[in-house]
This record gives sequence, C-alpha cells and structure tokens, in this order.
Amino acid sequence: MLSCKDISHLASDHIDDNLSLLMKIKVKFHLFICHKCRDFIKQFRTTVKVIHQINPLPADQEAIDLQVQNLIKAKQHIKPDDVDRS
Amino acid sequence: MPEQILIKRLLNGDENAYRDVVTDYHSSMLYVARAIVGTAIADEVVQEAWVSVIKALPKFEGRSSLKTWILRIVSNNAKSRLRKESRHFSAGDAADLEIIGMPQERFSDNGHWAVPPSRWNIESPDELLTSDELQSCIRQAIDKLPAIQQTILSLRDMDDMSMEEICKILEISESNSRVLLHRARTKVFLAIEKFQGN
Repeated sequence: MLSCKDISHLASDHIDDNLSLLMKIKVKFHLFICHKCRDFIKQFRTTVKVIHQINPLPADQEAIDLQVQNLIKAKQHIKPDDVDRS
Repeated sequence: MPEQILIKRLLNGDENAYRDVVTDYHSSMLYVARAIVGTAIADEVVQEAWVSVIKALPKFEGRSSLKTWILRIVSNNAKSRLRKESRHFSAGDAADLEIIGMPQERFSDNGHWAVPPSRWNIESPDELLTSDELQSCIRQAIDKLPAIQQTILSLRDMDDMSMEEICKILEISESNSRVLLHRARTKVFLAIEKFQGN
C-alpha cells in the first residue's frame, strides 16, 4: 500500500493523469482512506492552477523595441543565399 | 491570429508581426537559453536565435507549432554555443541528491505525515491571486528555482506546452523532466503554504 510520502512524490503525475492504471487505483485507494493526503492533493492542484493563472511579468518594452529593430535590420541584410537550409 | 497568416506577415517583414512574436515568445526563449547556457550569455544567445529564426523561416514546414520550432532553434543555438566554449549541457540527474518533493522531515519513518499540510485560509486559485503579496511571494519562489526547473515549469504550467514538446526542445528524457517539474511545483506549493501560515 502506498504511504503518504509516496503520494507526495506522485502528486504531479496524479494531477497530470500520467499514472499507470494500477498506480491510479493505488493512489485513489490511499486518497479514499487518508484525509491529510486528500487535503494535500487538493492544495497541490490549486498550486498548479495558480501557477497557470499568474500574470506574466510585463515585458520590457524597450527591450522588445530594440529586438524588433534588430530583426528588421537582419531581415534587410538577408540575401536569398543566406536562407538557412539546415 | 492563425499561425499561417502570422508566418506570411513575418516573411513579408511586417514590423507588427515581429512585435507580436517578440512580445509573445521572447521570455520563453530566454527561459530555454538560461537553462542551457546560464543567465550571463542567455540574452546574447536569444538575439542570435532571432536572426537564425528570420533566416530559416522560409523553410519552416509547420511540422510543429511556430513556438516549438523557435524554441528548438534557441536550444540548438545555445548548445552549439556551449560546444564552442567546450562546455556541455546537463539537465541534472533525476536521482541526484535533491529530494523529489516534500521535505523528508514532513514524514515519519513509516511514511505517514509527521507534519501534514496545514489548512489554507484561502483555497481557490482566483482568491489566492487577488493578493499582490502572495503573487510576489510565488514569483520569488519561481525566481529562486534552478534554471532548468524554472524553464520546465514555465513552459508546462504557464505556456501549456506538452511534456513531449518540452522534452524535444530541451532534449531531456520525459522521466527526468517530470521529476524536475514536480520539484518546481512542490517549491511553489511550500511557498504558498508558508504564506498562508503567516
């Protein structure tokens, strides 16, 4: 039978649905009998949702402008023979 | 905007299309470069990669998404930069000394919780994110992650890329990347737990 420590190791694979059928059954059985692990998995799932929703830091507009200008210059200097054929 | 239209505009040298892709992809490119070459020369590698992208774009066959293709170019450029400097890329071994997830002291010898997860005052992701203080605490936790963990977390959980795509971009095994992802998520979990406890 899986221990709480095992469940903590398997949390990501459990919420990403990346476990074998046998392991899924073992995890579900443990969660059925262990409220501490149920709480843990619920909070771990919330953590992943929070990471997903966190606003990306605003991009540095000056760096973007500079990069765009570099690309325009690079495009102007590319000759047909320069096209990377790799 | 459909990708094919975006690519056509890029091929025509449309400045707004350049701006769109730089705005959308630049930070992911930096994450990939940092994971491979380190922070010091990541910017330089990304700038070179952009030029490679513009050069290679006419040959883009659409076998992957534009973003995956661009990130692979970053990865290839970063690795070739490492080779020039006689260094090599290692994503770390999943079986290294760092623990896989929760700290050992949270469990008793029989594997049961010794220090179980504390009850969170706020439980929904939306409510959690209304706190600027917590957002900054989560960002700090992410910033402190080793570069490779930051990259995998960012590509998987923020950019919604599949593990298969991430493994192709970084050329690391799926089992290794899953362990690294789990470590990264656990560190963010612990940061939220600590915040909730204060």
